[in-house]
Order: sequence, then structure tokens, then C-alpha cells
Amino acid sequence: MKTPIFAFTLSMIMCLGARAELKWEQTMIELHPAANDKQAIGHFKYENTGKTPVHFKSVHASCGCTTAQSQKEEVPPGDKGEITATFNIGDRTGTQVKTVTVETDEATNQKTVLTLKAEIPQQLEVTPNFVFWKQGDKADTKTINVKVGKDFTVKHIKVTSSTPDFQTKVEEAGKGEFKIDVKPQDTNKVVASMLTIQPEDSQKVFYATARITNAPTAPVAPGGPTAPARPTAPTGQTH
Amino acid sequence: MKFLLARQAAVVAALALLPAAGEAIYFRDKISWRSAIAPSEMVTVEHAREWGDTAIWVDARPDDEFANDHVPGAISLNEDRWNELLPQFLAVWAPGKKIIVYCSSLSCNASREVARRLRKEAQLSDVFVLEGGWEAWLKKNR
Amino acid sequence: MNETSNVQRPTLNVESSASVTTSTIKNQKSYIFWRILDFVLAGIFIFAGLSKILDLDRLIADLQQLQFASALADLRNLSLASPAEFASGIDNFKIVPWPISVALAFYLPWLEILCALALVFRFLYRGALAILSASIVVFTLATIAAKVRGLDITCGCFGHASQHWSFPAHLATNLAILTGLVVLWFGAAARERRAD
Repeated sequence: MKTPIFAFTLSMIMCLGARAELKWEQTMIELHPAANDKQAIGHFKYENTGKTPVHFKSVHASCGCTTAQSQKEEVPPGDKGEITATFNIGDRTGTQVKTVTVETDEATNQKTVLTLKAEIPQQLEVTPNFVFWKQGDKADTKTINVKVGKDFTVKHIKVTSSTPDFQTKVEEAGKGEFKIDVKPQDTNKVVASMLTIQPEDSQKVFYATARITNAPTAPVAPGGPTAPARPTAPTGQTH
Repeated sequence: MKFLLARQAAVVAALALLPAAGEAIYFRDKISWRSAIAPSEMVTVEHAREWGDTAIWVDARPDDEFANDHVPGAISLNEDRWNELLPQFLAVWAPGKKIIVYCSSLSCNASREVARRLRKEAQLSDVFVLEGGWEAWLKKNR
Repeated sequence: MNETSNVQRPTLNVESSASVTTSTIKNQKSYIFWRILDFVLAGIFIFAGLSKILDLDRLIADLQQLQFASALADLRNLSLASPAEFASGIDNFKIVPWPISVALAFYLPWLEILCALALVFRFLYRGALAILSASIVVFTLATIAAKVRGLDITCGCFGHASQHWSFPAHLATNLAILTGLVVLWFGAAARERRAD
């Protein structure tokens, strides 16, 4: 009588002990891609410290800009591997946090969230990157502020307008800061111009838009058309 | 002694409530107690539809999702091709227009980020995030 | 006999006044030490509270670069910080729901400032000390728990000003502040024993 109970208890203990267990080296990786990098890649390493294999049920990223791949679908006991998370930077700036959720068939801790944090350096911060005048307004000068990123040194910037309708003038406004004064020739016609801002000795180009817009549209009374209207085509020159 | 300590702590804790309440009242429109987006920055599908022609719909989802389907007349503006798409959006914007940015649950808060950049970088006002996103629009329209 | 006691009395008086003077100097030095510690910790908590209420980024950057003229201009143009940022920082710990994060974002900075002022003016002293100690302990435990869970936390004691600090830096700062508060506790207890 005692022997079966003992054997049963022992087997239960062994079953409890024989758990699949995925141990992650890190669940958060911080990356510092260079200014021209298109991707930031994080390698999340793991090891199966349990006694049974671990199967990956799913590995999916929180958004379309990040892809995640597992080297293998099954991780035998004692085996190591990694999940590679690739974040496509695109035109994003600043601190970006993307997550990858990994689901396994472990008895405990079936879901693990892996976090990829990327600090994307920005050589120039252009604010505002859009200046406009309403048609008929006074052709005042408007200012665009350009701030150099803290990891960069820029002594001069060059600004060109895609149309002669706007004049630009660059002034240095202290250490690592520039001011771009933009003035339209007149505000009689609806025009737009792309301002190209290029730091010296750099291939990278930044943009701002200057535009003379139509006069504001009259508000529509509540209960108007249910479907949003198609936007009107711009008149005059665009970039 | 313990009562004295507790009484003193209670008095300090109670006194701190006063300026905190004042600050909460001051910021009541700038911060939402329900979600991380301020109430003044969100709009429902019904409310957005009432704006009619005065609204520009902005699709913050990736290119393939936009190409698959989108709000009729919406303009694609996502962070993958921000520099390329922004001038196209600015070309159709006019003062007085309300901007409604939407994305889907798969786009990880893309609409919030696009809305933030429009407010901060282009310094546009009247920028709203669609409550419920693309899914909410589909539910009301399809 | 009487002469002996007369002879002894002057010596006793000299010894007593000397020991009183030494004791007074020691007390004064001790008092100065405790007050310095009060002011240092109060200063830390006032800065911590203000950094969450006001937008101090530019001011701190100018001070770090020793640009005092710009710093003075920044002081004149101070604006309120958005409580949403601090609320997001609390929310990042994923311990309390969003509405509680918002409530704490409004409440905690003012609590820190009031407790710090209580240290400075020695008014409701022990109560303030209890609150500050409890908050540092809770915050340190929350920081460790977040790290263990692999969460990205960017907000420390000093709100936006400490957003780039590493986890060890956060932890070391919290522990140093807690040590100072514990020392103040002992000081307050010793003062009360002396008073008794």
C-alpha cells in the first residue's frame, strides 16, 4: 500500500519538477541606432532550463513597423536560441518603444513581453516644419526654429526654397540653434513651397513647407453630409 | 506617540490634497481620467461625421493597410514615410479644418503619434484622434 | 571640615561650567548637523516635487552647461508641466490603473513639497518624515518590481529630469535618500529621549 502511494507521490513531484522553462537573458533591450540607420535589431536570447521541450505558439510584434522571428519552433531542454526583433525606423524620431509578445506552451508564464526601446538620434529638429499665410494676409516674416541634436555638431545650415515665391534668411541663434526667417513675396495667390534644410557637410536633408492657403472654410451646420468629403485639389504651385 | 505620528502624517497628507485638487481642476480638460489621451483630443465617429467638409481624415496605418481599405477621401500619413507624405497632407490642409487621425488596433498607437507630431512639429491645432480607430469607423459605416 | 568643603566648591563650579560649555558646543554642532541634513533632504524633495509640477528641462540644461544668464531667463519663463507625463510614468509601472496614476500624478508632488517644508520648519516633523520614508520605500520596491518584470520605466524621483537615468542610478539615489531619512529618524528619536 505504501509503495504505490510513494511511487505516485514521487512521480507527481517529478512531473512538477519536470517543467518547461524558458529563461530570458533580457526582456528589454535598448538600442541606439545611428542617424542613417534604416533598422534597429534586437536579439532576445533565451535558454530552456527546464526538463521538457518548449514550443513557441506565436511570436508577434505590437505593430507593423516591427517584425519578430524565432530561430526555431521547438526548444529542447538545455538548448539556447534567440528571437530577433527588427524595428523599421522609417521617418520616426525620438524614443520609440515596441513590444514583441511571445506565447509558449510552458505551464507557467505562457506569455512573455519583449521590449525593444530605440533612441533615434535626430540631427536637426525643425519646429514648426509648416508655416502658412492666409490669402490676402499681410506678408509678414515667420520664423522656423532649427535645433541641433545633442549628439551632433552643425556649424552652418543651407536653406533653399523650391519656388521663388518665398524668401528665406538663416541666422544663428546661439549654440546649436538657428532661425530661418521665411517671407512670401505676396499673399495674393495660393502657392506652396518646399524648403530644403541641409546641414553643412551632411548628405541628410530636412524639410519644411511654406504655403499661402485659401481663406478658412465656413463651418458646416450639424446634420450635414454623413460621409467625409474628398479633399479639394490644391491650386497654384506645389513643391 | 504613535497617535501623534499618525495624526501629524494625516494632517500633512490632508493639506497636500488642497493644491493637488486645485491643479486637477486647472488641468481638467488637458488630461483624461479614463484613458491616456486627453478628452479634448479624442472624437467619436458620430461626432467626426458631423464635421462633414470641415474635416480631413488622416490614415496613420502602414501603406499596405491603407491600400487595402480606408475611409473614403482619407489621406495616408504614417511614420514610415513621414517626410514624403507630410507635404502632401499639408497641401490639402487649410485653416479651420479639423484633422481626424485614425489607425487600427494593429498599428500600435500610430494615430496618437501622428497626431502628436502634427501638433508639435507642424503646430497645427484641431487635431483629433478617432476613438475606436478604423474598427469603430467600419462598425458605423459597413 | 568646612574649609575642606569650601575649598572643593570652586573646583566643582569650574568643572561644571566647563562641561556645560563642552556640552553646549556639542549640542550646537549636533543641531547644525541635523539641520543641514533636514535642509539637504528637504531640498531634494522640493526639487523632486517641483520638477513634476513645472517644466524645468531648459532650466536644468542651462544650469548643467553653466549658462546662468539663460537660466535666469528660463526662470522668468517657467511654465507648468503636463501632469499626463508623470501619470504615464506611474502607469508604466503597471501597478495601479490609469485613474489612480492620474490622481497620484496630481497628489504626490504636492505631498513631497509639503513634507519637505515640514522638515525645514520642523512643523509636523515626524509625520512628514514617516510619509517621506514610506513613499521612498514603496517607490524603491515598485522600481525593483518593474525591473524584474522587464518593464521600461523612465520616470524616477525627479520626473522628466531623471528620465534618462539607468536602473542602478535610480536605485542608488532612492537608497541614499532612504538612508538620510533613517538617520533623521534616529536623530528625532534621540532628541525626544533627551527631552524626556
